[in-house]
Amino acid sequence: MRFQEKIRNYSKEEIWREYCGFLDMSMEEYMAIQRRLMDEQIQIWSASELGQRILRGRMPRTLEEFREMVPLTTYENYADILLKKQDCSLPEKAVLWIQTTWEGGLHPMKTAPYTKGMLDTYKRNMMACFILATGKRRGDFDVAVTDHMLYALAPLPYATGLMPLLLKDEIDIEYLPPVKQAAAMSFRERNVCGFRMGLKKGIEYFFGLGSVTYYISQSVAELERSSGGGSMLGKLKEISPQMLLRYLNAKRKCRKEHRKLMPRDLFQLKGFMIAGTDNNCYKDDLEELWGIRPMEIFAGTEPTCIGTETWSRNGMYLFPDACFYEFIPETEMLRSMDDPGYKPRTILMDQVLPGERYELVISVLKGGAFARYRVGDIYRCVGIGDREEQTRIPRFVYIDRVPDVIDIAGFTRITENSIDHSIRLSGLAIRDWFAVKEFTQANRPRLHMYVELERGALSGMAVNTDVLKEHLSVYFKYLDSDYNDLKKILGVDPLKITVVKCGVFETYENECGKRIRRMNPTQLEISKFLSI
Amino acid sequence: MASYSWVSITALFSYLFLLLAFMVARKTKVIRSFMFLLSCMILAAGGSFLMRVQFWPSVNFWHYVSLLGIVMVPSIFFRFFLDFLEEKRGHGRLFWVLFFGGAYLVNLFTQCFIPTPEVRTDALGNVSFVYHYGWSILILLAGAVCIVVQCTLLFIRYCKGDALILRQLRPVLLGLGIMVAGTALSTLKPLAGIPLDIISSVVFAYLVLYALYRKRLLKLALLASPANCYIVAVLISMAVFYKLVMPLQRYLVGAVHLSQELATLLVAFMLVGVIFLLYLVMKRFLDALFVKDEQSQAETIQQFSRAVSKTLNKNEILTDMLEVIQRMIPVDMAYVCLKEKNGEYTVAQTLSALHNDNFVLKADHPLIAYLTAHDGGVLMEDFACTREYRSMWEQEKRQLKEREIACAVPMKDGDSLIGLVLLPGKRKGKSYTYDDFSLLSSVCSVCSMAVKNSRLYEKAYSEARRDELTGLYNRKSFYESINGLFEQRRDRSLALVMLNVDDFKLYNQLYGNKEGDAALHRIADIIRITSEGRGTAYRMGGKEFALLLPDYDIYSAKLLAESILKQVRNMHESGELYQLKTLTMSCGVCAAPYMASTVEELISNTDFAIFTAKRSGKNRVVVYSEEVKTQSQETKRTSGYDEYASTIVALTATIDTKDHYTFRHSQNVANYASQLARAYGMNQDFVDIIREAGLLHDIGKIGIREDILNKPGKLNDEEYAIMKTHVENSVGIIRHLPSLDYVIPAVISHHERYDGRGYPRGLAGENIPLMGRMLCVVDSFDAMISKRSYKNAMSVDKALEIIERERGRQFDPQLADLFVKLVREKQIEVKN
Repeated sequence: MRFQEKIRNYSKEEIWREYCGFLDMSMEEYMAIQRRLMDEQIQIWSASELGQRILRGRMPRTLEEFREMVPLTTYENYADILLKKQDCSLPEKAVLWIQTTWEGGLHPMKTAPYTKGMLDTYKRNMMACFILATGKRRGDFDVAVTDHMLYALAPLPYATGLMPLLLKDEIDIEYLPPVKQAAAMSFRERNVCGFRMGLKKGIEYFFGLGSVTYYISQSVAELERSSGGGSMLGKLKEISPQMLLRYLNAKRKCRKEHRKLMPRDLFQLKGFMIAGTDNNCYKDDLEELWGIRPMEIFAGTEPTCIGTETWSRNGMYLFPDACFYEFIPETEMLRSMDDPGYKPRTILMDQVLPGERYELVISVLKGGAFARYRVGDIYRCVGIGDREEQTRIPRFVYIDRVPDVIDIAGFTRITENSIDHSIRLSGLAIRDWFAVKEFTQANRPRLHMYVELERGALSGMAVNTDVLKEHLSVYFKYLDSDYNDLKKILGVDPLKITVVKCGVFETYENECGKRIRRMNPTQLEISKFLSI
Repeated sequence: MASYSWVSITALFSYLFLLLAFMVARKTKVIRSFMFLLSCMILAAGGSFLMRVQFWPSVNFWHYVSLLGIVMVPSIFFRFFLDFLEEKRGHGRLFWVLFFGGAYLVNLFTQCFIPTPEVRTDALGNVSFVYHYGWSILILLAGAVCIVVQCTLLFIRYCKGDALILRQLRPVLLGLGIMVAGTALSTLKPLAGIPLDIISSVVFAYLVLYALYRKRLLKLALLASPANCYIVAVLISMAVFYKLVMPLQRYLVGAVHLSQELATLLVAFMLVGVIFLLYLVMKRFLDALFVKDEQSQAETIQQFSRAVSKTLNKNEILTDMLEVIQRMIPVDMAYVCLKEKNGEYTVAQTLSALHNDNFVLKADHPLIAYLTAHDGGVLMEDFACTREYRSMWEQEKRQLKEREIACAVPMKDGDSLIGLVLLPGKRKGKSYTYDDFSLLSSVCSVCSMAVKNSRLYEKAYSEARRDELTGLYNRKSFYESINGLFEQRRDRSLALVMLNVDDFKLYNQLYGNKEGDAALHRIADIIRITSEGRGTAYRMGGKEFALLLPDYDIYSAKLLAESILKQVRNMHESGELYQLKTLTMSCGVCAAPYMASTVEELISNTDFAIFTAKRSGKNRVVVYSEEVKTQSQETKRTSGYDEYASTIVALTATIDTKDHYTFRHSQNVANYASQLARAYGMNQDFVDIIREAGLLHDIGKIGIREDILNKPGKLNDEEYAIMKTHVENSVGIIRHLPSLDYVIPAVISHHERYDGRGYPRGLAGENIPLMGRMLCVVDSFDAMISKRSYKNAMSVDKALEIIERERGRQFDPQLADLFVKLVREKQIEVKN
């Protein structure tokens, strides 16, 4: 039965319990599901060619043996099979393949197989996100067949393109603009068209990367200037009288308050969901713009949709049936970064402690390919359960990517490798460097590079910060289309360059006995470095 | 007026009809609220009717009765509305009851809201009622409006995003609208005289009834209750006779010339007859409409109960159940899964033998967990919405999906799930109804009991054919099977292997019965596992096993028997504890038709073979042959003890050459011990063994130096330590004489003390074998009264005194007392 039929035939309470019932689970019930589903996954994964390659012929029978025998993995462990889309080597046949960029374009695309079981779970969990996004309390939600969603997502084969496909199975929500039409439009056209259709039909949901939704939300004011002249009112002939009234009222209000038109003046969102990184930078502004606070969900290409906030927007809960979760404590993670040979210890969901940060390790359930996979994300456990939400399972907040990856606004993943590559291509006389992710005064993320130039080059080359920035930006864009999109879509220039005194890297190394870490050194290390 | 009366009375009977129906229904909160609402409407309609016909006692009385119903309707409806929405909070429901109740009471005394109507009679004698309302009636109307507003707000809140509640409430709202509109229209002058308010109220009541039915809060079959049939029959008869009584009576008096009294009596009879006839017609009609299916279901279940109570065959019970299900529910397939010993649920029966399909639901299957925790069946689409479903494996989902399972019904015994019925979707895509589930639940609970009984029977049947200790089939089962197998394999072959544990009695005495039982269990496991899939193993008696091997020739049977013997020999190879005695088996093999042509011959030939194996030194496999038969027949003529007697005498003579005291001592100990054992109530076997043990108990002294044995003075510590080794020496010698090893337990423990301070093992109390305790008493006694190299002989009385003194310390008190008594009473003749 589709969701839209369920809302006609079942009570709200029954529907809420079906999709969001995992929030009522005790830790024991949650772990029982995790362990049971993992038992199945161990059997099928270990028997597959992919599993056998990683296991080197061994065959774990229990979860404990599995955690002992399977090392922590990264995409490299799977690349040769997954990039060739070798179905026969997988634990289960893939129904479709989802792709994403891999290390800023230095590698080919990453592809991830999705089985039928994974897609069913994804769908159910996605509906849970919907329900929770529209609810104001436990058991409450407001989803109707006649609703409309402003479409701000990348189409298939990217993971975000799955959402309309899966939701179509459940409810006939209308996308603004329609998915097929949107695929043929530029980003700006899509936004303008979406809002214009929204004016005719209304917008009830909005979902996208935090940074993108922010950018789109700001473009509401552009509605009046769009499509080459003519008053907005003139183009509103087709809209409903109710919306026309609302528009006129909004204009009057904006004039009175001397401010630009904001989406909240025209639309009353039922649900607002955001995903990606750096969402904390945008949440307050988005709430101001739309009148409701966005709800954060966690989804990715490899892990699928694994977590969601609730009506209280007070931390995310991870779905028990999407992946089997392990957590690397922060100290262990840092140690493994400094010593690549070190095998960090992992703990399970029922062992996490409030206040601690963890790197997430997942084993995708239901025939997924990834086992003990380091997703590269850091979470902080903010509590075990919540009295107000009446939950008993751990809550998390997303912190950021792991320190050796710099993710700007969910768009690009910059690594030491990709920066080195850009510097090499640029031919700039940079002797040494380190990069750190920072937030501007306006609370926007940026990449801050500290560079030391070759002594000999200073007299023969024009290498001021502007030149360096310009050059590096060109090659970042060249290597990484996502970086290019930052500028193109969001109009953001995320790079800041600081040139440091010649020889300072060497001095630091002599004084501290080790090189400064190139990616995201600690604040203490940076202060020490800059004080030299 | 006439139409008002008819409509009022019709409305009144309609309400009564509903109220009576609900009286037999299961009373939930919302049903109770609806009954209150009906009661108010009965008061309103009944009061109004009786007022209009100016019934006794007065117009005023009926006016107030009617008013009570009318005034209370809004507050009672509000209560019903909240209960219908399952709203737990009060929302002022008590306030409204008090408000309208209070208003009614105030009005009763002051007539400030609705005064009693003025009765006007026109020239034609028609009576009309005129009400003179004041402004204060607006207070009551305002209250009603407030309730409507409150209901509207609740409706908006509940229906926002909840289409189901909207659908459920639709008939109630429609009814409410009709009632309000009807009441409003009835106040319009052009429509005066048409009782729209009463008609709309009846429509409202029936729409609410429909809403309750849609919400599955009542069954329509309730309407077919006998009380309701009587009401309808009476109502119709009354209506008919109201118009016909007088003309009929006149006709009977005038045309038929009956007397007035007789005519009245006849009319009364006719009335009763018509009521009865109508009742029957009504009942049949309503039964056919609502109850027929239910009755047919009940009959089917009853038949099924009767059928399954007559059989203890599980398959028959399950087949019957599936047939009943198929008869009542249009399905093409059904599976019954029953719980196995390992906790898994396997398919025990399917609807069609053509579709026999063996699948297994694991013990921790989420569907099993759900059905165990809940009563009643579940639709798979509902199950997919549960928390349990989240932990379902994809393979498990596919398993059910491939079989198009749409519904699962538990079979329970108390809280435990003994099985479940899985059904695919109904034919023509129809969905399962509430009635289907109640039928399935009833059938499954009848079947659960029957299956439980059949399993108990199966268990008892199996237990009667199984050996309790080892789990193998028993002797009875052996004789049942061998005849059948012999007949089946008449043209082929059947081998019989008999296995007998060697010296098991000794093993029991050495290690205790518990350890003996464990050893038998292990041996049984070895035999069972080795012969699994090839034949059947039986425990024939204490230490005797048999193996029936269909299609086996003698050579293969011998190889199998040798494999078993080897495993049994190696059973204790790593256990130090078992060094004293390891278990072995003797085995006889015979096979038909090679060496036997009847069952009896096969068994007896195998017996000959095993006997020969025992006599040939045990721990071997002997295949039956004619020589074996001859040899065993000859051997059987001599007794076992006689065979060993010369050996025992020879051995004791050897000691005699070294220690002159000992030969006589051993004879004496043997005599005393056998007499003590007999007096203690032991059988002849025991007496024989203890005699032999008495003769051999000091045989270990062969290994002690003569200077120590015959030393005149007290032994020093070192010499004493050497002397003490004679016990182990004795055992060491006897171990090499397999035919005498059963005396070891007695020999090894004859220097143990009852208080645990003896040697060599320091055993105490009952842990010392009985033979050892007996030997201890008689050995000490004989030692005390004999002359030795190191002491003179003690008097018998003195020795007996010492035995009495040492009872409970060195000696078993019971045996010590018995021995002293036997000596004193001269039942034991003392030889010095």
